[in-house]
Amino acid sequence: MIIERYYSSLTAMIGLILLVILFVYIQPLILSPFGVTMSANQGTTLALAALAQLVVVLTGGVDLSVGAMVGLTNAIAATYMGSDPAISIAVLIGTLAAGTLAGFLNGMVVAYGRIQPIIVTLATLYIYTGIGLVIRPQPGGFVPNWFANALTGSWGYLPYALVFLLVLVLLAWVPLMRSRLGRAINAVGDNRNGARVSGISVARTELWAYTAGGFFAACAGIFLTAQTTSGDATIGTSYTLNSVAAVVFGGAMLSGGRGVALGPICAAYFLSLLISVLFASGVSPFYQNLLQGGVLVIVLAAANAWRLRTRHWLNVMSN
Amino acid sequence: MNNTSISRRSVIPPWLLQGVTISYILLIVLFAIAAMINPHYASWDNIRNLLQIGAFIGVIAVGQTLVIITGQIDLSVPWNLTFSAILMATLISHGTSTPVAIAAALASGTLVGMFNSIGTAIFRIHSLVWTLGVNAVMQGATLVYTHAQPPKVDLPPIVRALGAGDLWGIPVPLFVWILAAIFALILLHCTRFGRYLYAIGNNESVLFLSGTDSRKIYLGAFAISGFCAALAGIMLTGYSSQPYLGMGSDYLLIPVAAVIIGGTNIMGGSGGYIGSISGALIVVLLQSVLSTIQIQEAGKDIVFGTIIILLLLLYGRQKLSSH
Repeated sequence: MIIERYYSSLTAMIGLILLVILFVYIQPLILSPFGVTMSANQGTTLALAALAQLVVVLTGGVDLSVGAMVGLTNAIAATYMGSDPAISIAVLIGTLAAGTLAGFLNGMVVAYGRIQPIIVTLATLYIYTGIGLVIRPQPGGFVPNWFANALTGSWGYLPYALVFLLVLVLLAWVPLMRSRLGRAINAVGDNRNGARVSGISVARTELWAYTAGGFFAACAGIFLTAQTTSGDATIGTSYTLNSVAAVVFGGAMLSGGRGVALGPICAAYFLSLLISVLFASGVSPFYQNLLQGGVLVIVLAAANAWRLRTRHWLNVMSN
Repeated sequence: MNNTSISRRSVIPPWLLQGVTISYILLIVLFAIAAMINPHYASWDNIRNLLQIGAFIGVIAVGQTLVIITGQIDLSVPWNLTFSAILMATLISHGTSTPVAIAAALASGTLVGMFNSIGTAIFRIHSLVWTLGVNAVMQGATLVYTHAQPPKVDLPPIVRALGAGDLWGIPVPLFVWILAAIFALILLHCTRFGRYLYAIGNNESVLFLSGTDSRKIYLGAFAISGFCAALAGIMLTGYSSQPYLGMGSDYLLIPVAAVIIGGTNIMGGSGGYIGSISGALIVVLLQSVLSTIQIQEAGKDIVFGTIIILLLLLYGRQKLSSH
């Protein structure tokens, strides 16, 4: 059944729906076009970052440099865009290319250097943040209004942010996952040796998965540029952890091979909406980091709790 | 396949290819290059300075080595360290006696470490994600506790001494490091707990089937890592004479890098603290060279990350699993 593939996303979907109901209960004004657009804008960067993380997690790896790539592309876009539309578009394409290249480099080192993805992406996290800081030592930059409006505006109740996300999913994610490469990505994450003996080049698959991750991280960076209308190389820091959390909460397994885009996207909106809900319920700003971190840890523990039901502890271990 | 490995063995003795050996050779080469560029590097003053700063990384690396040998990782060090340091300083500023304040800081660090092991060993969440989450929680806890303003306090002499003191011309942090290193080496190579750490890293299921509760081993490893982070936090407070909010930010990647450079396998099961010592010194030496040739902070990050990747390409590669 096609629906069975989406069971893993159920927790995140239900969580998101319950949170929205709670939010509307606390702050009914959120149901205005403005409120809906604002909420959508807040979550879209994380949703895109979660896609970037998901494609890598599906191969059984992890990409800790997602946040750094978001910050780097944000810095590039906000620094070079200027007000001339032609140049802006060229810069946007360049930004996408830069993010994709960053992901490609991650992939080269992981796949052909045969080094653990954790430590590789932890090192490239520093490299990409460093490059971002060279390009933009202080937060700032210039972002043209038309560009910001094109991504963060709304048409009645329909935020352009959701359209942007949907277009990316339909034109990039779905074709990618339905292609031979997409199948190979899932196969490698599910069973590396199985994939190898059935003729899939594991290294090449990993390389392109990380490259795709870089592309989606660049999309997140571009959306973030429109949302904040400024550039900041270090702004991406929180997206690394949150993207992993969104992927896990969204039902994908960190060991690879299992996961669909729907869950992590819902989880991303859940996690970002949570901050707004905390704001709306009047929690002191000092508590926000703590609550956000606490919820994240609880979400991670809860998402994994089902494993503890197994009768044999050994099953848990070998996973 | 067999032929190549035999012929290679005849050319280069196998012990030379081990991460530990390579890392010590690398340390000597790096130091020689640094001393050639600037003779000041070979002076006792500078070596003393390097050892003092290396001690902070070395102490954290004790816990990190144990955790990495089990195949996990502890990324909660930065804010665990900061919270412990700030807890100690606040207690002192409220008039608590110094030993109690230090004990409270160490206890707080150890508790956070135990909390790390709950997520990793019981909920079976990858420690990479879980400890990063705990790091975020500790960041939040620090902000709530201090309202973003760490206490200004006159530190008692013992805390200052732990970070910046001098005994017979040798920095006190170095003594702490030596003690920690002896502790780590005995723990890893002379105790049952140490053998279990390697066993978990190699194959947890087998350890479990042979009748050991691996969760307790994780608990021990993470608790020690938390303790080490708190200890380093106290030492750093003494070194910079005040705790501050960003004091831990350097200690996310760097201790991990030191352990990996020292030849411990990031997947667990092999390595040891001997290598981590040279790893810590290499890292400190690199940082110091980068700052003397006056590269900006951003440039330092770039060079540092690149060097770590290059070192990993040199000897951190996994074997092709073509069976």
